Amino acid sequence: MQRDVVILGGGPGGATLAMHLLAEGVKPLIVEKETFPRYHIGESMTGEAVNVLRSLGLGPIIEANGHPTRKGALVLSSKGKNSWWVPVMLRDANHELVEGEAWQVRRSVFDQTLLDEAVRRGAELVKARAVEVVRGPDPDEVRGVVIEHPSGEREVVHSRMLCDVTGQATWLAHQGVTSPKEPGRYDKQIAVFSQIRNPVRGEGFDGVDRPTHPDNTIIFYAELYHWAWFIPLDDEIVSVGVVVPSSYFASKGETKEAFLRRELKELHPELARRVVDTELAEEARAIPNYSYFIERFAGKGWLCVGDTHRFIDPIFSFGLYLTMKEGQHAAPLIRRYLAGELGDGREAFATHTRRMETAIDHYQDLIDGFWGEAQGFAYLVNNPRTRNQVIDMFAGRIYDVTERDIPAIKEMRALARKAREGGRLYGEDRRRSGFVAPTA
Amino acid sequence: MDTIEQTVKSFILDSFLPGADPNQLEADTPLITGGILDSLATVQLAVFLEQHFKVEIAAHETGTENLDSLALIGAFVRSKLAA
Repeated sequence: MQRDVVILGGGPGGATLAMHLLAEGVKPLIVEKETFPRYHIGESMTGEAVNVLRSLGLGPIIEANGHPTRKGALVLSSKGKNSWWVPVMLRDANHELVEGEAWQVRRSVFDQTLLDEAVRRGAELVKARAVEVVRGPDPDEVRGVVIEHPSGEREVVHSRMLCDVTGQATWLAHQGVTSPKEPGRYDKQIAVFSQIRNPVRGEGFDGVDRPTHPDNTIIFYAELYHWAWFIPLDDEIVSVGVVVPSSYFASKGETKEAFLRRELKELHPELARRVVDTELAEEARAIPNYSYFIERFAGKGWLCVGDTHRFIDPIFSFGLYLTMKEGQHAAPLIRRYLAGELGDGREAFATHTRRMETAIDHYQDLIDGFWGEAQGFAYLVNNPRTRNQVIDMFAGRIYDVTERDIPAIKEMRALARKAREGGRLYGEDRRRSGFVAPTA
Repeated sequence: MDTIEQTVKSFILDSFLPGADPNQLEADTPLITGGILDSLATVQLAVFLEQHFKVEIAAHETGTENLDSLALIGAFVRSKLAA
């Protein structure tokens, strides 16, 4: 068969990209190998992620799911003295900061809602596994994908634009289409996660005080590279994850479940106090080596979106947002490419990838600064001069902004540089000096 | 002590060492490495320096290299004022 746009992956990135394309008048085919609903990690999102979803008119159907909404994130250090609060805040029509909130989503439910809606709006969905890319005469060119149906039958799908939104599976990278997938700075980390029932949350909440709201994200950090997340998913269940160096996890010689249950009681006194019952409500899962980047992630007839080309670290829950936001940026470009307005598309998509990378580089600086220079980072968060700018960055307002718009970007970059040079961070990363221009 | 050091000394005594003997806080007393200023207090001190002396202190400058003693703070603020 022949389709203008084929999207690999029916998660929130693929589904929202499909809906953005449909709004542009382009009807895509989504290839998804799993039967939904299915478990997925990545339950928290930024304030601007909510705006992406609302811009697609998805507000009411997501609200109908009854997902809790966080008012912000509380970051608690082991000593308690370096703890801080970042509220979710949005910019109104006059560019004034106003209080906002962001959904905490059980991904099995949320992802199904988005995929169903994409189909309802006209996207075509096929349950199949992508097995091989169809190349064009140019070594760089992609002309489609071979898919395998559940029956085992294979079919060639020719495409003018193949969008890889397979996330951590990084399908086009494994096909050798992109430049090589390279380890990111936090590659030596492992995340071990599950869910627990009825922990203590929201103490002191009086209906007004946002930092004590029971649906907030809480990040506990014990020491460098050793931390936990706490993300409420409904009135009863809270997603919990512990992220540590892989060598530390291996040294414990425990099962994922035993490791997680022990860490919940040992990692941080405040976490231990909140976790009344360590019995897990879900299978314990783990993702090692989640940090990577791909320098060249677009070419003639193909594009990688979101964590299909780069993932840094889960600590501030940027992943879901970045993927959905990139789809929003890519959709009009794809429409114009299909209309023949962009020639072979190379230049336009190279520009697009640079925009995406420049934005993510701000988060690389933010995360490196947080890990390597916690003191300076707390100063940026708490200083009245920079606090609102940091709030903007956490909310996701990182695209097409410069240090003139957000001066804290420059300060964050200087702090990250100090962190990298200070020797506390994991070693070499070819991205250490920021953006690496894609080779044309 | 210079007036900058005196001002900072008063701020630290009032904010973080209530009731302490002022003579114990000397120009070279280690503030951060000596445990007088914890992380939160260091943030408060840096914000105070910015606001009181009308200088801009970048995040990467808030470490022990500039803030670990009254003498270092004085030299640091003077360099900012001269810039």
